[in-house]
Amino acid sequence: MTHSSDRAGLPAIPDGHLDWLEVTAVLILFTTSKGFLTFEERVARAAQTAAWSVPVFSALLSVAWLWPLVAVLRAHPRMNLIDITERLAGRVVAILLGLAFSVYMIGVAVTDTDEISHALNASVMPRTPHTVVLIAILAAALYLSLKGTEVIGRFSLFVVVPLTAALLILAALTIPTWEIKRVFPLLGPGALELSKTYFIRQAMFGEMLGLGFICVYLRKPEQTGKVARWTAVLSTLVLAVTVFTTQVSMPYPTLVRQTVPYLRLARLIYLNRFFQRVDALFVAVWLGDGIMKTAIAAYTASLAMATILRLRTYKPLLVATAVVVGVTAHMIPSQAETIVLNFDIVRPYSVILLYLWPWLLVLLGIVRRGQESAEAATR
Amino acid sequence: MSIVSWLKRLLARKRPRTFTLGKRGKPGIPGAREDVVAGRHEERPPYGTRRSEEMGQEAWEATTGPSEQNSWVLPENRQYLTHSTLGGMSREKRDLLSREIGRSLDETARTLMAIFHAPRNISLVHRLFEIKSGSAKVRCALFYVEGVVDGTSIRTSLLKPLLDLNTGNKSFQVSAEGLAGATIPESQVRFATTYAHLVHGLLTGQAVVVIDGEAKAIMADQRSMEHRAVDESPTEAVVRGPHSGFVENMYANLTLVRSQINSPDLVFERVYIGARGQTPLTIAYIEGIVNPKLVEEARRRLGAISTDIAAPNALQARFIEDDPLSPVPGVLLTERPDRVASMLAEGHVALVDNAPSATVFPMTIWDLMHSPEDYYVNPFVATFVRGVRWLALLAVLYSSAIYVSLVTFHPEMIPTELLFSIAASRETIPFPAVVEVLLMEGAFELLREAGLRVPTLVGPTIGIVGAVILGQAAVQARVVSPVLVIVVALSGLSSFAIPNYDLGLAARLARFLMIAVASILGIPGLTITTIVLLVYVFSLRSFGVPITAPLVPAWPHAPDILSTGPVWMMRYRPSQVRPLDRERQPAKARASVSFARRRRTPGGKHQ
Repeated sequence: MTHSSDRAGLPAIPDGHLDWLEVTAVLILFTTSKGFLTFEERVARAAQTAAWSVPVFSALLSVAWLWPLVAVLRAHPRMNLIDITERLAGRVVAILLGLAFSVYMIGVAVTDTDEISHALNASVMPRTPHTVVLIAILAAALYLSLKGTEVIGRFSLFVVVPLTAALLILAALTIPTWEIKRVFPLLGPGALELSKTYFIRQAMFGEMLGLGFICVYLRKPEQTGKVARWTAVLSTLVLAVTVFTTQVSMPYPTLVRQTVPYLRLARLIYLNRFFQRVDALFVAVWLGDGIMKTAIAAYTASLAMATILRLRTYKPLLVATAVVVGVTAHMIPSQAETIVLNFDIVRPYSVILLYLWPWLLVLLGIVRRGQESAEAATR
Repeated sequence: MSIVSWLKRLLARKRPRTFTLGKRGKPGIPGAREDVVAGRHEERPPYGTRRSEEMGQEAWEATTGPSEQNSWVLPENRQYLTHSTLGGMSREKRDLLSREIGRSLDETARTLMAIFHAPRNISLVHRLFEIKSGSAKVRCALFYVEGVVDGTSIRTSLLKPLLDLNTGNKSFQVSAEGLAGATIPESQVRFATTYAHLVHGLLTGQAVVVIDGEAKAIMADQRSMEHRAVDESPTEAVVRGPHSGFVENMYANLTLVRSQINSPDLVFERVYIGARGQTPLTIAYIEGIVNPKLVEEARRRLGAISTDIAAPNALQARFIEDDPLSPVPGVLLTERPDRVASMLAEGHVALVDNAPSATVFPMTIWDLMHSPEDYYVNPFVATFVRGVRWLALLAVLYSSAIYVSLVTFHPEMIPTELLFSIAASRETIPFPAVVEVLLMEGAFELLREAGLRVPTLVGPTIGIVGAVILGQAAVQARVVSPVLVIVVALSGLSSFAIPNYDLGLAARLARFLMIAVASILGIPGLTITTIVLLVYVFSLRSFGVPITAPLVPAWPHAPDILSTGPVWMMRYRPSQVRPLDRERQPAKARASVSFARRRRTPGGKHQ
């Protein structure tokens, strides 16, 4: 077994366990789980009737940073982003960017956990204290992340199909309520405003930066590109379908007043007299996906910190991360503030990191290669 | 060197893969370690107990003649010098056993009696007699351990020919080899020169003849152990397919397995477990199919068992599992020889001993939900039945917990008419739903446990009393609601549909966890617990193989996981066991029937 950090002179973190399918499943779940939360409402608020096009065009724009990310990872197999940064830009830059990534992932974990726990509390468990729900979700997520990459990969592969299928089936079951005219005018708030939204909302694929850490565990590092392609395509498809479904199923004023639009959508479904509450299925799927997301976010954040601190294992940091996530989520007073924190602060500013890190590494790589060629010619 | 670096080096140091005989810390026999690692083998060549190169050498000598007269005796005796029969004994006894047999019959007899604590211990039986050779008379003694040999056979085929020498004029050389050649018709005759060899032979069913003046004893195989007749497996009964199950005799069990696989590649390798108990155990595998690393790992784990007595194989399984604390089994225990044979043919390894079940590994969680009958019936029917079993597993885990969560937290999810019915039935019940469920589930577990312990004749009565009278009385007394009785009955009945007993136990345990969580967090709690349980199952391994393979991780596999395909379509062996020979059968594994049919049809196209 090789070790990711051996080449960079760092302590050993084992790698080389996962097939591309497992890594793809992890990233798809990580990216698409926002479809179960306030994502549709926020996108609809920003892009109005053109909301359905935001996942598609943002995905096309995100190729601009995904391509250099994959290129860098393929050029440095078995090394994570921090290792690569340390090699190309030095330790200080690696620490700074690694810290930024950790903070971003912790932010994702905090907002995700808080949104789910609040929504769960409000919709199905009004009598249970919010803290109990929060702790239960965090405990499950912590257990999952403590089990390590292999188990996360296997679990993701096992649940990605039923979870995605549940989401798409729920979308299909709402067809009787669809009104296609709700997607017109196609340009929504106008071309310029829409372009800005496309650019800012690239952050919906920000979780794919996690590829820079999870790809280390790929059995065949050359499959990094394949993982990125499949994740991008399938995530875009799922997110576009969810946004489109909510958009055509509810009038705009209703949609922008829903904190969890897909839960509302599930309640619209009426199969027959017996199946009167299909949303129960939604709650189970929704919670499972949310726990997965929290677990993966906490895991990648801890992994990044462990690499920065040159630790042999990320596990002690994971407990600390879970405590930070829990306490921070508990400190946020309401779900509304969590949503604002997520969509107005964490996500928009993460776009800077998404572009800065891969492009910096590509440019430094080119410069370093040029220097090496010059030195070789001098000799 | 600082203390920290010294500690690091200490922790980083790999432990050797060898082990000492007997309990840890006790002195071992010099040179024992190497021999034990090479394999603690019994002496019987037909069971293929030695390494292939040794067997090859023996086969060569059988055709060309030994390079040196009786040269094979010495290596075997050397092996028994270090045999683990010595393990777990006192230092004095070890010294005694490692000695060579002397020429004095009296001394040999005294030593053997001392080793066996005779005459206090009545197990060791001995008989002194004299043999006339020409004009000379030689004193001899017969030794055997009562209960492990066939008394009639000893009388007729061993003692009688020896005593008959005194009446005839037959002349023979008075030596161990001469006497054995002239009188003993048994095919399995061996010679021992050490007490370790002798004692091991006595314990494994050999009758020993010691001749005065000879430093070598004759050992004739007379083994016969009482055991139950081959019968149907009680927990894996089937309607179609073979009905025979394992019994409490290893040799009978091995015969049952070999009757399914007539191949010289089927290897039975003998090891002994437990320093004092010295339980014989057979590692079974098919050479050429099984991955040698798997066999090596099995030897390593069995060799590392450092206990005094490890009798039944369920106990041994706890010693060799990857995660011995896991309620989900890490090895498959089966009572059916046909199942063992089919898994050996797939590249698995099995352990067979004097227990009515064999241990097979590596296993997957899918194996636990399979029944041997799946392959004897139509694949569509088998797939349907497997689906029923999975539903049963879900019912065991969730039925009671869902009842608790719906009644306590989510009554709006219940259809209105049913909700009214449940509400009406619960109106007079003084307990919350969780207490009600725990009462009934507890009573059911009690009934099940009592049903196992009570005599067979009373068992059905207890079941009827428990199921009908107690349930009805509880409802009439308004302790539980009638709906709950149905739910608990469904849950209890489903637990019997799970084909693997160990998995059934694990599911019963998890059910109580589910009920507890459902009473606190409702449906979301069930989701969280399901995630935790799934994650736990995904983290388990069986001899290094993830127990959810080959579905997750997604490896190539035959159509035999959740569904069952036709057996002729199962071209490849399971990839998770990494067999040396991947292909089980060609792609076209059956004759084309349609073509032949067309030819036979009058007026057909190919007529």
